Amino acid sequence: MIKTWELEPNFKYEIMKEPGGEHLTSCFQCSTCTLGCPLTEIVPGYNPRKIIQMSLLGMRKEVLSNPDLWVCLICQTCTARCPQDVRIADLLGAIRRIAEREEEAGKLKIDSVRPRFDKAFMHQLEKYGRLYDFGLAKEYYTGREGSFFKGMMAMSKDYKAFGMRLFKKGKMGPKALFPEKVKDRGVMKKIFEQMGAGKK
Amino acid sequence: MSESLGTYAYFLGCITPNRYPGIEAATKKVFKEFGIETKEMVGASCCPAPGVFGSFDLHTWLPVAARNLAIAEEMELEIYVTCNGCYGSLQEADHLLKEHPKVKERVNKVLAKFGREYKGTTKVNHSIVILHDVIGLDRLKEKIKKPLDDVNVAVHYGCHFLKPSEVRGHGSSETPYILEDLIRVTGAKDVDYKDKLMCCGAGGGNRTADTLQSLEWTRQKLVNAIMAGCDCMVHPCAFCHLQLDRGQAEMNKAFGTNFNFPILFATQFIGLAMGMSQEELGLDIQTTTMPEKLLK
Repeated sequence: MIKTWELEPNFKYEIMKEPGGEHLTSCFQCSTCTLGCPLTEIVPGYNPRKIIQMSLLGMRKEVLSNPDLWVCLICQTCTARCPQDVRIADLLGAIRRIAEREEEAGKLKIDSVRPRFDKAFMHQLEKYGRLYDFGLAKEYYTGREGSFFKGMMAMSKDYKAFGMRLFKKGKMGPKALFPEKVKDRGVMKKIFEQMGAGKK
Repeated sequence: MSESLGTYAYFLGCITPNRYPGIEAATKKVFKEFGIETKEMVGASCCPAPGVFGSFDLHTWLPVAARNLAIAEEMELEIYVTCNGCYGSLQEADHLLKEHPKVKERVNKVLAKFGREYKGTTKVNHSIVILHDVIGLDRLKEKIKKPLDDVNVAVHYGCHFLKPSEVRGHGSSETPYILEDLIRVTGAKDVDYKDKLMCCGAGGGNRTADTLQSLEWTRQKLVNAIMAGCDCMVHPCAFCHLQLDRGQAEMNKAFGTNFNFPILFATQFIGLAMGMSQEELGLDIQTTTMPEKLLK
């Protein structure tokens, strides 16, 4: 049961201030997004319409701690079909950004490892300008497993056989262990610093 | 060599050089056959990834993308890409910056710190759109040396090639036609299968963060294609290639299945029809093996 005095009616405006969340209030709950979503066959009970309605009602805590926020693949089928141009895929991105900030501030715990992966990915770009597989795996696995050693164990379990096969086929030499850097990569750091996203 | 059809800047991205250099080789070789020259974008960074980065920190995403666009502008060339992720990011950033002068001003302030400027003079093209629109189906047909007549192809578009349709400009995202046209030119047959426009399952960081969900997604996609009697899958995206090709080995491990369904990038498929060998196109170093039917 929803208790109205526990709702935060300003939550919708908070979302609408984020890029991508602008069209939230256009939603008239037709559920086209959910009926067309290919993910509903794989994750039973996944329901973007419900997330939107909960946001509109102001169920801030329930929305931000909802694990379903982190399973969307951004295939944008919902965005393409929405008659009200709510841009659901971008909207969920906006809500994820708020949840992420809450976690950084220590007010929320996110179970999904996806934000951890996203952050590790961004750090590679900040450092090298391009994706560096080993750096990404090192940071992601270390964060996920809690320690560097445990992370390396988990990584070798997942990728040892694959790595050996690549090596045998001549697809991966010793050079692959080192990052390939963008020519003037100092600028990447500058961009990140400018936008306040530099590694803390 | 036919007449020159212009020069383009090739935005490599991350997956193509890191995992599937065959896609780069195939695209460059096929384009060269038709007189399209490719220039490298020196100093280009990651696009940056639309799901992992864009939906996470849009404010930082935009200047990074704008910097890549500015590099192409300095070369005075249009860009082509071989990955839907890059296509999505760069084209959407371009669209955003052109639509919103205020955002452009803010981004240019950041770029000015290291002497670059986004002007809005370049255009982001997908390699298969160049094949379809610039080279054209007639020119393509002349170069087909080994028609792939009895091959049934499952077409996979990937999400960011088609959506959002008002930015992409390839017509309705529900009734795409570009890949189908390219397949028919080679003599092969494009087969309709269940949930044809379904995502490959890798998007938004889910490949790593929620591996089983993403593999189940890919499994359904491949099963649908196999059930429709397809011999191979052709797609325009390096990231889909990673998930569909490498994902099969992961699925076999996770679900105990025995998938070996050939996955080809669009230019690799056309390269085969033009008489190139699978070694030239980098098809011999990927997870799935090509059937005799395609190589003959």
